[in-house]
Amino acid sequence: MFSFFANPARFMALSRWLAPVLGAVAAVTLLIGIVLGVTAPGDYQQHQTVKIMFVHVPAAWMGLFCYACLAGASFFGLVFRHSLADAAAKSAAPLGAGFTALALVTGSLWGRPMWGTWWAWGDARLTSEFILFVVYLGYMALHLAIDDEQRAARAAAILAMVGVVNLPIVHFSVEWWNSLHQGQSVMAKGGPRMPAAYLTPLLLMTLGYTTLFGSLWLVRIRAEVWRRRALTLTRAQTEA
Amino acid sequence: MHDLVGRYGAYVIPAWGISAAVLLWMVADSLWRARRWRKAAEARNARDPD
Repeated sequence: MFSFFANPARFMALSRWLAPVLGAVAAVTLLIGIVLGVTAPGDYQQHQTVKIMFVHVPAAWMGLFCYACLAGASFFGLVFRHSLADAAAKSAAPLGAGFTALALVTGSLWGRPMWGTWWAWGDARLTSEFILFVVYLGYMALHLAIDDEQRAARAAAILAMVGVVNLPIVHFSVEWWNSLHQGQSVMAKGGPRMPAAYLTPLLLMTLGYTTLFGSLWLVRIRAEVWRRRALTLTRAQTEA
Repeated sequence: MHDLVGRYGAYVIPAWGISAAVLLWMVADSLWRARRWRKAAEARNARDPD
């Protein structure tokens, strides 16, 4: 399947219609999610701050999901030396960094009224999420720091592989260590531990964020393919 | 608005506002890049179609 989609011409033809379709799905699901999220009743403990969860949880999930996509593409780029895999990895990084930054900021805005603090370094979930953000920044900085694009892609891919270690730490930190964060509540054993009034907008926003990422990822990979094509043509015209 | 966010408006409204701003930036930046490089590739291709 990888070799099928790794063909740039086939990818460009597929992504040309898939990106707007995913974008349309994202727009509809986000619109419904926003209406249901904004009008959701206050929680008996979190009161109206529960509404921050509808933008915080999907952002945190996307920070991890984007990194898994980045690492998967980096792996294929390293093993098969395919330029489209490098383009996919490079294109996922700014989106993942954006989602992770959102998770950190919105989490902090929720933590202040609920925990009485904006930030706690002793909390494993907060710290590992911050490390994830730093790895994203490091990945992008490495790409910018090396002029030779193939060397840059290889070095960044190795960093991406190393950073994978952090993903299970972020996810399981609430179970492995004492944390201010609550335990699993959506993917809990025995099903979600929240009423439909909260679960429905949360799942809709998560679907909206995921399809938005899918759409924008494809758009950015297309942009990267065009950029490389433009640079190759410029080089060829300069040499001629 | 007060009915929707209660006395936590100072936290809820910035959280949603910042989220909207970042998502809109992601959309705008992605579309801008795609447009810019597609045009650049097409312009260079037009200069030397072979």
